[in-house]
Amino acid sequence: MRHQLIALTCIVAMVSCGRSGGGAKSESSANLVSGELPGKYKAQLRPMNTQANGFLPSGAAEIIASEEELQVKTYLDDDTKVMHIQDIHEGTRCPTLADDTNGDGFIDMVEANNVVGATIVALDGDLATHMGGQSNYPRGGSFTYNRETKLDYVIQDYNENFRRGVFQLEGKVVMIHGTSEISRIPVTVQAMNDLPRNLTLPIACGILKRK
Amino acid sequence: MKGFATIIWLISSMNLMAETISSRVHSYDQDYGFIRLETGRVVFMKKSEKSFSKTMEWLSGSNVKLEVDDNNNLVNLSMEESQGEANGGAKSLLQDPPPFNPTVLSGFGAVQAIFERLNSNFKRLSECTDRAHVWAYDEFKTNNIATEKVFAFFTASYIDRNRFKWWFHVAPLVSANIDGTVQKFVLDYRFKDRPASIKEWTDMMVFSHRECKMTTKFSEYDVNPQTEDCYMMIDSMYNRLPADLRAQENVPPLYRNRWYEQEVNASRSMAFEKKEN
Repeated sequence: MRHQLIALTCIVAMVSCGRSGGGAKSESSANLVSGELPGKYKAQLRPMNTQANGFLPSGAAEIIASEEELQVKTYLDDDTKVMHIQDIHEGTRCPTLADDTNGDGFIDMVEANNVVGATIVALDGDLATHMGGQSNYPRGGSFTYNRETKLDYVIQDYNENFRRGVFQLEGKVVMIHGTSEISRIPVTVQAMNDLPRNLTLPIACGILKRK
Repeated sequence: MKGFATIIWLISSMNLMAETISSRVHSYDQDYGFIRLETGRVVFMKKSEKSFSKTMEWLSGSNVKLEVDDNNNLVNLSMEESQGEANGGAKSLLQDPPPFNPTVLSGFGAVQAIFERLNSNFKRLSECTDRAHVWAYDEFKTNNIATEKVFAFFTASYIDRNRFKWWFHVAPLVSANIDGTVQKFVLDYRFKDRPASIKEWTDMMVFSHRECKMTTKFSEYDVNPQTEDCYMMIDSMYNRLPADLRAQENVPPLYRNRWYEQEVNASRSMAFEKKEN
């Protein structure tokens, strides 16, 4: 299990590191926050890869960004009691079957990442970093997740790792992964590193929109 | 038998209870051993407990509370008091199907506009029947747009093969003239991020991607030879439940040709959050 958790951290690192400007905390985060960031955002999370276990998971992500804090609530109604990796990505659209490059009928994590891009906020036990939260992603069939952190921390993490303009939430992708190990997943579905395919399979996706 | 206020039926199981479902029973499938609920959900019986089938038959139409395990197998069942018909039992009694002409919108933009103004404030625990009914009602009352409903019914063999958790699903259906051709789009805001073609909508649920066989009689689905994955019915916006479609084959037939405000209000209360002040 420990091996898997380390791998999970590496997954997020794979899609978001390597672009880092280094660890120096040189710039003030405040001047890189879009003035338009504060507000309420919601993403309706709709099912993906429903053939895996015959259920249509759905939920929502609701975010309140104030001048100082980021409050995140997500909920998912699913029927598989597993860990659900969930992240905000830099991409602006959810994958469709057109993105199923190996044609197996599933959008796996590799194919999904080609569309949604790097993780900019990991919705785990520590919102302040984009790095995957190891064992602190939510678990359960249906779950509700609530976390908040200082917005400065999120912006600082973003600035240190992404040199792509100001941090913003509008139009960004929220994606949730994870289905039962007894789900019907073909061997063609690609996982990442040593994580099992069932835990990395995307199961729900949505786009953040200002409310 | 149904006069018993409450019965408790404990089925031997070592599994922990995972979920509690309250619903009226639509029917019991004796061959495949699962209960169809009016909410659309399916609950499986364990093979060793399928001998209860005779008992299950008289539960059709009863309100029950079911506890299911992680594998969607029935663990516990108790009967609940009847809530009565939300429409007061009142239905039109017509010999012939009432005429119903759905509005034909002009262009896809009009379809998209309806999709974007659908009430997205639905509850986590809400049923497709209630969401679809309120969406259709609001569009009719607010914008005088008459929609249809599209019902997808999954065969027992498909449910059994895929351990599918629902036996039907329903959503509003709108018609639009696109470049001289009338096309239909499903509005299922909870599960699709845009107006979807019927095939795109059913592909989300029919993993073989076979087309659902269109029928105008619920009985064709009810007694189907299990060679299809799915059946489909398109009918007026006034129909809320599969039972409403089945009633069209009663003798004499029962057709719905209007809204029942009490029923719409009940659906709204069940499926949607109250408006924030």
